[in-house]
Amino acid sequence: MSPTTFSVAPGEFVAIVGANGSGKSTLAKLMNGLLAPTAGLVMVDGRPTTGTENAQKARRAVGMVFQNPDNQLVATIVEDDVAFGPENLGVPPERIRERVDEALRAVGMYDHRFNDPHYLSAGQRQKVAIAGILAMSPDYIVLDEPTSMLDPAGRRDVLRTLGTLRRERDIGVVLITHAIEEAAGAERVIVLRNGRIIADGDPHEVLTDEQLMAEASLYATKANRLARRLAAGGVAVSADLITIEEVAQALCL
Amino acid sequence: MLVELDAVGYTYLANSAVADNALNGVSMAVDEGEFIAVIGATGSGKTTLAQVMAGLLRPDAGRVLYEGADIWRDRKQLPQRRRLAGLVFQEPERQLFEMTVEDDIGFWPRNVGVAAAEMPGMVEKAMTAVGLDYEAFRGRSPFGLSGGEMRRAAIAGILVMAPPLLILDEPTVALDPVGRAGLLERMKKLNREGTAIMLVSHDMDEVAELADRVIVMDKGRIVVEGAPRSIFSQGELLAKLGLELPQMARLAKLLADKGLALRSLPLTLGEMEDEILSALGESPA
Repeated sequence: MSPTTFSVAPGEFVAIVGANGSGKSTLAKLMNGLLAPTAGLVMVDGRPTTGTENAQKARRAVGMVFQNPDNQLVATIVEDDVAFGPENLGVPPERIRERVDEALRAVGMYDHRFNDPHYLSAGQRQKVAIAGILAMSPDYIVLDEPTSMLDPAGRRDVLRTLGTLRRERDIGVVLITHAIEEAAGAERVIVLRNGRIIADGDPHEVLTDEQLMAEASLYATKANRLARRLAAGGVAVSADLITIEEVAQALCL
Repeated sequence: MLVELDAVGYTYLANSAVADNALNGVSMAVDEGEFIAVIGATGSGKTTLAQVMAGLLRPDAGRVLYEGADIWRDRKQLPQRRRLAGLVFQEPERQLFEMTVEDDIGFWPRNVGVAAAEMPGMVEKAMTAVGLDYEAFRGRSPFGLSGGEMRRAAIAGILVMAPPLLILDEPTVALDPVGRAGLLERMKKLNREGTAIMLVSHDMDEVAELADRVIVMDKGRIVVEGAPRSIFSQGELLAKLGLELPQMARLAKLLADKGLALRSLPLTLGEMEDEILSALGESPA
């Protein structure tokens, strides 16, 4: 990573996009103190993430979810798995019970609490991994391509869960993704290229900037490509629509 | 018929308490030069199907026929027969292991006794097919390549034997948009040049764009198969199976819900553009 400056507020939904090797995963690991910056400062709630004690606090505040749920599940019963995090944080046993139940309800996996995670679908396992992070009561969650290994239903499910957490618990969500359609649903998009931020702003501005997207080796969403073609063909739609919902809305006024 | 499965069944950990019936009475065929896609929710049996098809898993019921011959009947001929179908596993870059890209790609031919003199030409051809320059990459360590290059080197390790059927199990997962588009373009080209392709994918847009025929799996069975347009006309069934429609078909549904009906179901951007222009042209705006 080159010198890079940005911040994420509580309850905000930020997507980070960029080609392979642009620095997305490095940035994710910097955000919760898994990596220490070799220059500059990473601050979580006003505290730097360097030093053992600070790094621990950062990891507590910023939960991480990785691409492959199988690399994150440790127990053979769903609720044990979710309890692993808070146990390690020294949360008192009676509070753990509450937190685990609450986290499993939040991701819609409470009915599966006694199952073996290895017999759940990949989407369900990813939701258990998210519950495991929630049970640690983070203020922010950073997810590194959490949906790339999931089937369509699993992907929809995980994205819906993230929306709920943000709205109902004011958790800041940072979603790192190769799926530009997922980024189009965020409030803010950050574009990385060769370890630098080359754009940070409203998806309608960032994802429709042709020159910028080409520079970052990214493509516009299909909805945006359609909107542009229609606009060029004389249809009265704006060329900066980025989702199919927006296109449908614009065409059926 | 290139490859045929006849009432194939496969159970993991058979005869145990956790026996898992992954395939059940599956019959299907792949013709020369076809491009077929297999879709289904996680755990529906797609990967098992790919491995049975490639002659790597021996089914516990039914037959696997390569050009009409039952491949599991004569085990001595199996290695030779397997040259008909090459399987690229999920995240195939995990299987790279040799010191150089050239040795890694040459592993399969070396092991089935291809003459040393023929190897460089075969390796070069496979590398060209995946867009890796032979001279620039042959001597490099596969572990020093970028993620996208590693994936392509691993695919070249299968293409090197020029199998008439190439089976790809979620080949674009974790690739960035440009890497993904480039890989799919190369697979399309291989298919145009005569290689039959079976693509296992969770990406419905990819499937709609590439496949001649789509096979839909659920709980170890083939639920339905047909041309992409016929499969993606069954939105309710797909939703029930944990699948979805390609983006343009989803947009068509949103438009229909809002009162703008299209003549036929668009699957690609170009089709959608035409449909909308003609729908707007015809309606009294």
